[in-house]
Amino acid sequence: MKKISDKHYSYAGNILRVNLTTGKIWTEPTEKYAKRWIGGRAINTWILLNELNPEIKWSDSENILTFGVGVLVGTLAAGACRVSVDTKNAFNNGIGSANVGGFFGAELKFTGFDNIIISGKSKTPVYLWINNGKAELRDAASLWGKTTWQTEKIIRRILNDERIRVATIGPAGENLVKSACIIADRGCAAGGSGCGAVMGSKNLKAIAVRGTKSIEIAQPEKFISAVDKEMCRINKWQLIKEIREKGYYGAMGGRLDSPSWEQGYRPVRNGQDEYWSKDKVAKIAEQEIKKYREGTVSCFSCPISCKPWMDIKEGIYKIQGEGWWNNSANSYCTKIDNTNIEAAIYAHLLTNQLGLDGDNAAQAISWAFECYEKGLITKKETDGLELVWGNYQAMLEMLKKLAYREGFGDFLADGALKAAKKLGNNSEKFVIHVKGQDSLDGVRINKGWGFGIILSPVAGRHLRGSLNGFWLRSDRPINSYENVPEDLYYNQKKKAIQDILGLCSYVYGQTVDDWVELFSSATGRLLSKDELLHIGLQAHNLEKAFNTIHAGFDRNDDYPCERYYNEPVKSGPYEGEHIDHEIWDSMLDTIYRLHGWDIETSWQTRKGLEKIGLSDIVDKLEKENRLK
Amino acid sequence: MNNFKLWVNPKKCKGCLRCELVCSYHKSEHKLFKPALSSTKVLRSNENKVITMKIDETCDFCESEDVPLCVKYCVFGARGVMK
Repeated sequence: MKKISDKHYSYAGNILRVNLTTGKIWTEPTEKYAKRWIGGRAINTWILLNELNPEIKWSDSENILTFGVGVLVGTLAAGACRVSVDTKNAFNNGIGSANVGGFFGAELKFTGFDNIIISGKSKTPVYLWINNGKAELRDAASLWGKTTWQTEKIIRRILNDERIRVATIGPAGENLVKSACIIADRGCAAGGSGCGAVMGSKNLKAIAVRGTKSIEIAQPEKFISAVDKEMCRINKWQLIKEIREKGYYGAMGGRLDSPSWEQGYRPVRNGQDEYWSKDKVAKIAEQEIKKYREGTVSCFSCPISCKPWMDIKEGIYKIQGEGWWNNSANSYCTKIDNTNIEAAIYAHLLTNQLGLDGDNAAQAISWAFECYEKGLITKKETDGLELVWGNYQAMLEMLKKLAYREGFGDFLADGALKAAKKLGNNSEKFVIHVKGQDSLDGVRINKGWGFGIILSPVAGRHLRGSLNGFWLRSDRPINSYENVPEDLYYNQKKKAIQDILGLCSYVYGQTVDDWVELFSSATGRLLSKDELLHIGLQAHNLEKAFNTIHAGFDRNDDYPCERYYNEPVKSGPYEGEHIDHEIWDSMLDTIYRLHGWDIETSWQTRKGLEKIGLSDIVDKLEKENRLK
Repeated sequence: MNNFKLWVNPKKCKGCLRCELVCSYHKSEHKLFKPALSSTKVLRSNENKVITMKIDETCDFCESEDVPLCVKYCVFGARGVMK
């Protein structure tokens, strides 16, 4: 493959297009989109917005599944490994977006492709094999039904290359479970939005990549100098040294004195509370986790190595694999009130094998636990399982049932909100969801965090600029509303750029100024900080427009779910903390105003879109009568 | 020509492959990132995290540099120089 032009450095140069219905495979130059959208997530969203009709549902063959590798991936930029997976959200048909690290993205670029755009549906299970600029669909009959771990192993054996990188679905994706994710490199999840279910709906089991091509840099000396400058600062930071040794959880969220435990904001018992007692925390904190940790491992080009390698050496939960996160502690411990750490670690690695997103899956399961507590379901409905708080064996069984849509698992497989509509009895009132998607986080204490989650176009996920009060603004208490909409508006732009460049948010200490230097020297394209952030703003607005057109969301969808909006926190230092309705409304007004959106509906306006250079999506919104 | 000899310690390596990247940058005369060109190869098993590290005969010990770049850019102390 030729480079798109001598002036387009840092790109692989081409986008791979695959139609699974016809089997047709073709390419187009990345340049067609790169000038305006730079790369990764924004190119994906632009393609979805332009090529999908609103009538198309997530599981229709016409839906499009996109993989977009960040522009700096494949280079020495710290933590440049991320891939954005974008499609229609299986929970609500709005924008679905998941972001994954590991090695898959870099290897894809070394095959010669920046993005993969997949449409149609194969008649039989297939996998996509991309090898140095050539792509082919291969029969995946023997892979169907296999776990993600088995699939990677088999593909590497069939193709006889241990350096092949694989992104695959597990049984959950095959069975169209909405909490299904795509697992890359055995332990990295493109989670949320049901991306795995979309892949399963297309009968696409996996994508395998292997490449030996190169990424060329426009101004190598300047680029290396920018890398060195950033690294010099990162290396001096004591926190980074601790993360390298203990992983992200061990150095931060897993500390007994972590503010997330001491002050709260962990979802406890299906969000009934946001504070967990200290005796329980002690059973899953760093002092326990380190007994099972065998060092840490890195993703591609990452000098942080935040991923702990977990190894339970004996007993019924004997297993090893990468990762244990803050989210894992929420999903497999606090949500169902479980303090058995071995079972929780096993649950995390089990979901990776089954291809389940832990955040979504555990949320639906913890809702079922509460239904059981309230007597709305009994052992008769749960196939004999006692869904009582703390019952980790039942949690593990439920994860399996969910992935295979077996028995009561099938009842939950379309998400808690759908299940509640079937169950009735006011069970909808304690579904923890945002825009229909099961949501992990507590939002009542940490206000910046919560506002970002509810406002996320990706329905209740915190990677759209959520403000973590513990780290970003230590000058204000975490329950403060001060400047939250203004800060979130800025962070939404910043997060879009981070995704477009393919950088990991766990590389602490990065600044937008660093990104400007890295981007400009890598690509030879000189953009100022403001210009870069402006593209981030446009990218965020593309997702907003997609949601308005495809899911019909409006202001009513920017409020927390019933429990979080109306019930206060029950215990801990923030006992009684709740969301002030008047302030919430005022924050919505402010952020809509900042974006130039209509205050009453939240919809984008002609004037606002023209002001930020998006007049070409005005027609699309107008056609749906959703433009102000 | 410098007198570098390299040592590697797989137990300290995290498998980030920055050594492969920077080696290819050196070998392409500061133009490309192309791990396939690298004189050092690192592979981490996804099954058990065991890491293998190799340096082949094409390594020139970064003749033109003060320190071999794979050593300079390894932040985990998995590589070093014996003089």
